[in-house]
Amino acid sequence: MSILNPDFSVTLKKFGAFDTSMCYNCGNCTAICSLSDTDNSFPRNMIRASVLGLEDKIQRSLDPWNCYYCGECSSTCPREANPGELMMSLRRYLTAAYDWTGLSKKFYTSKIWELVAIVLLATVVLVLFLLYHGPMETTLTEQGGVKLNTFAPWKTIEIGDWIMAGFLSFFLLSNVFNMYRKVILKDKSVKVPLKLYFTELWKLIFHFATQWQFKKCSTEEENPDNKKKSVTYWIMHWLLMSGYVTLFVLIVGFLEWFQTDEIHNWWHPQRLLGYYATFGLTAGIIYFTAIRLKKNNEKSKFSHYTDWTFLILLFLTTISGILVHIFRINGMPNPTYYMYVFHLMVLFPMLMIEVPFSKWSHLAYRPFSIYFNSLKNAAKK
Amino acid sequence: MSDYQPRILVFSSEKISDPAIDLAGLLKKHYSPRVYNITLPCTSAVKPNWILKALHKGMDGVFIASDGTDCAFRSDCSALTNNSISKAQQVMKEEGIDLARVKMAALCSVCADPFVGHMKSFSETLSGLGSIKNETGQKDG
Amino acid sequence: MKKDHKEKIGVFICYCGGNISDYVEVEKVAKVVENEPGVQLVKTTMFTCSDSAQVEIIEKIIENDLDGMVVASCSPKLHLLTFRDVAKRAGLNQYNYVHANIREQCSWAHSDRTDDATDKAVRIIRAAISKVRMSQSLQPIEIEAKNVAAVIGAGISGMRSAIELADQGSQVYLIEKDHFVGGRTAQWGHLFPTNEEGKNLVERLYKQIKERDDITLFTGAEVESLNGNIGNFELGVKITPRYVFGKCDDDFLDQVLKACPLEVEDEFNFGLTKRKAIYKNYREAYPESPVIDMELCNKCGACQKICDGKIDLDQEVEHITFNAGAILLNTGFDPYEPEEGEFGYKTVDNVITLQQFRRLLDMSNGTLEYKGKKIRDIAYIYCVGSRQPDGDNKHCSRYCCTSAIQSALNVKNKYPEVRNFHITRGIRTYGKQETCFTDSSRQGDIYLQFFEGAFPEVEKRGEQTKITVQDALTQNENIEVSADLVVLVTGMVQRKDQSVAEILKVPIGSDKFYNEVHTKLRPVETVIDGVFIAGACQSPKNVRGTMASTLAASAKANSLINSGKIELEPIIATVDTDLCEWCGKCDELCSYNAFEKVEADGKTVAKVNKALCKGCGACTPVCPSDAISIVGYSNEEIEGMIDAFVKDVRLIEDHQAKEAESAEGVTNNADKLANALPEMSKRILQSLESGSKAIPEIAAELKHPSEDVMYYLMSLRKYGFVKDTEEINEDEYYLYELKK
Repeated sequence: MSILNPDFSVTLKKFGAFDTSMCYNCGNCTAICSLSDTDNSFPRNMIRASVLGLEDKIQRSLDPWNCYYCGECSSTCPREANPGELMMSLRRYLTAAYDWTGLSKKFYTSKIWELVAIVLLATVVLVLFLLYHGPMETTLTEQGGVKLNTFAPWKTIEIGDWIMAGFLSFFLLSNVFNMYRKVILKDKSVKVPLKLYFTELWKLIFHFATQWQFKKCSTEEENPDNKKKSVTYWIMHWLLMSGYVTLFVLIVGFLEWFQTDEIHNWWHPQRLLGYYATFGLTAGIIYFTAIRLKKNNEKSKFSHYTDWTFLILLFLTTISGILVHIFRINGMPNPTYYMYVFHLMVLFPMLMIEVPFSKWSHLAYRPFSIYFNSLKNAAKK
Repeated sequence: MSDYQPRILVFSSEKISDPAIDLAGLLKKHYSPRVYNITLPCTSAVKPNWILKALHKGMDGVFIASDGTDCAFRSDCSALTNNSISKAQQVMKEEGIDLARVKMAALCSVCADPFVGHMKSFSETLSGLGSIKNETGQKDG
Repeated sequence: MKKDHKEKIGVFICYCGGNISDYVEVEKVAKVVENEPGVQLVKTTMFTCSDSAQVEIIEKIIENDLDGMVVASCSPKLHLLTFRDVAKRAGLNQYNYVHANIREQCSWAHSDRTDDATDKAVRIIRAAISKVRMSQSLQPIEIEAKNVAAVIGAGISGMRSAIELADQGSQVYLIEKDHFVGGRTAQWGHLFPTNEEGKNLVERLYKQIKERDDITLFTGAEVESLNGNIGNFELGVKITPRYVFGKCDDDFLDQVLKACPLEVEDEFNFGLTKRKAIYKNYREAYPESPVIDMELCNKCGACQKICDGKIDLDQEVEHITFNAGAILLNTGFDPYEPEEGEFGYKTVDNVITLQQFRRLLDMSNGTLEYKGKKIRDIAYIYCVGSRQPDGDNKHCSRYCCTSAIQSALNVKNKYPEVRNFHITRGIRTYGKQETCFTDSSRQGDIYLQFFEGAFPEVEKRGEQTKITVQDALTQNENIEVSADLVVLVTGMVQRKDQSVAEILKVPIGSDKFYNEVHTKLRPVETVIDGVFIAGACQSPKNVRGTMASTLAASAKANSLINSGKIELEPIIATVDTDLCEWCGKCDELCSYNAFEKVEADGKTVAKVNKALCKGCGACTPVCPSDAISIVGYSNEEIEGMIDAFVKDVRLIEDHQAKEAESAEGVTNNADKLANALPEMSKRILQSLESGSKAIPEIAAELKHPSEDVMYYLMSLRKYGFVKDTEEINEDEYYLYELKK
């Protein structure tokens, strides 16, 4: 027994959903979807659950994560009820629902909350630097580079990185556990045998690394143009994601090796990896910003303010990182130091807000959803 | 005997069941070509004697496609038709003719499928019973 | 009964351009039936119904002085009247023509077995020949008609038809049982799609009625008796007085309403309010003066004291009779009254019907309240009393989906905080009404859907009313809906009081609605000649459908009575006075009182009233001496047909001809077909011999209208004589050429 809750659609609108009441349940959206199948049939059932306000059903469902938003449902919908955007909104809603701290909901539904959090976290970084920064050495190294490790010793920064990584992991993983609880533990209809957790594990890793589902998104026969767009999207998304992961690993795991005063040759792996990551991020940011501005793609037609926040923070992080590098190797001490502080002032809030509580959490929810889904399907069989 | 192709006389009504038989043809739904139709204003006009005459003359069965409650003339038309059938059946009993050789069913004006269904099942029943001539003692010819 | 058998019968067998000839070997059939007794000539044609073939038949009838005609072609439903007309034009009595249906009931039905189809065609034509041999020349029965129409029921349907009939020159008596006109529409509030109020429609029609001298309106009038028949019915009507004279202003009305001490449940508002013994249905109701309910009134005189001159409590009931040529029945419907406990009706305190809700919404002002409680969430349960799997009402009431959704739009418009939940069995806002569904979706109404077999349940839990629905749109999940008001979307049923139909002897269907002659082809006529039905008393209809049917009925009625004369089919019962020994069984059985007991040649016999007999024949089997038969369906005729059906068929098989035919194959067949072509088709083929041409060119050459040429050319194309060249001429017309 579920209870009709007409207020839910009002809540959902804050997460970006359009007026789904126009839906008359024809099911064209489910029929056209290339990812929907008999085991996981969507998006119609999710629209229905949203219209009726069946929150429990939505929170138990993985369908929103199964959608990769090719947008064909929206362009096919005879009532312009925008099922694709509804699924996007449900992902935002689920991100908030998994988050036990309640912060995620605040960030998604209140611009002020998000802005204040960013400023606050940036201030923390600024204050820590004001209090504990090393001497602002103006003399250069023998190679003519800035002595950045004197101003901000990698050891100190690394401690900060680890503390931050600890926070991120704690929040993100506890939210993932929350997701697991809602999706697997609360579902009395399936019992997943322990063995499956190991045999299905490769899916988690594979999909995290490849985002393979994007490739299945959209149908070539129905809409070759859209298929092309989807493939481009997948490549750009992978570039951005791989750049981000590379940098994250370098900063958190190998800062001593990555943040050096010594200026390596251009072909040194430290610089090549850094350049690759920077290239991936920059290309990704330009591409995603462009499609959101052009709105020529179903999936980029509608942007929630959190989408822009994320892109802007990512852009500022990337550009400031590039500038730190340029200033450092060109022997410009003060610009290097100021830019470094600014870089961390953007980086820190971006990671703290986006990774566990907002858009970037999908790096965990997406592959975990595939993992949980295959656990359930395998258990049913 | 199952290959025997029985002859069926249908009494239909002008406004309701005859259009249903027309519709069956219009939709190219097939039934036995040994089904012959006499249309009356209303099936309540069927005289018991006509049923008997038809059997005596060599029809293997008589099917009355009555109007049921759709009848434009009177709502008790089926009951009246049934009276005539009962009277005919009394005589049939005395003469040793199987009572299953007379059948009545109500058809609406678009009941093409039911009509074809009735004709098929009635043909089967009648071919099971064999030629009427075995019962009335007529000679072939 | 002695009959002169017809000896000069012409049989015309149609190819129907292949529809028959593809499956029935028409020429062989013609050969066999040529030898039937009484047959003088047999002719086959490509299209018997074509103008040229009709002319040919007429020529043949005159040339050979034929006395009977059989046309073997399609169903008589299509062309019986066509060939009756052909017979008339040839000077042959139309009842000496019999139609043989060898298309729907032979060639098409047995297209799988062509040999058997040919055999059956012979038998069908033989039966028709046998029947025509015994046929009599008959004349239609002609009777006088009064150009007066009685319209029963002054709802919008009755009022509209009264106006229409008056405009067409008939005199009209408009008879309304209630004391106010407008029927159900007056109760209905805003109507889709114009949002005009029902009472405004009523007002407009009423004012038009008052303008016309030839419409006499009786209110409080009930039909008591009916005598006579089509052309001259005699209606007995009982008229209950109003007890109040003249118009009265609002002030007077307020005073008397205040003064009257007696109260009763107000039927007009479906029991939501009370009314006094002196009342008006609603303030602007017509006719303007109020009325006193004498069943309730105790003659206390309180109202008389306010204005004595206008009130007379001693007025008496009147009985009047008048004559009319035709009667239109427009008695409308009753809303379905749910049974106690049906979806909580009368057992849960906030469950009401759609009709009550419309009144509630119409009367509400400022806040929407029911029984003192403010309403925010409204749940509508659809198809209550319609489409019942187990109950009597199998029908869809057609108007309720639209009406309920429009109510939801209206209520939201008036009270924006209201939320609507529609619990449906599938929405049927057909045609243009679909837009209201879109509007309702747009305003955020929520739709749930159940199927027959899983009806929603309404129950009271504590203070809250809960509805449980197995929602087909949500994988059959059980959804619980809370509502402050539950509206049962109740459909249309026949009026409880059907006395007028009983008096008029109008057939009542199993759904209790009045039956027409044919649902599709004759939707406003009844088997009672001269009695027509229109509006919701025939079947559920919305206002638009009601208007269409009532205008159709008016036109039918007027065309019947305006010439002063009516022709009736002579297919009626006849009594063989030699055999008849009056026993009265026929009279007892006849629903139309068509039998009279008369003295003839010294004995008492039954006589048939020609204007009353409908020719159904129900009386014929009950006559103990078998003295009654229906014209055209005598024992001889039926037995003759049976004989014809069972008689052996020996198709003439010429082995050599058959071999030759199979050798030459298609050409031979084509030649045969070509010989049977109408003159016009042959001319078109000739014209095309000189090269490909477009239709207008051929038409110009043959000096014939191009639509005629098109008709013949298309059948030539269908049967493979010509083909299109896939080229066009300079005027962009397709070119056709001979197919070699």
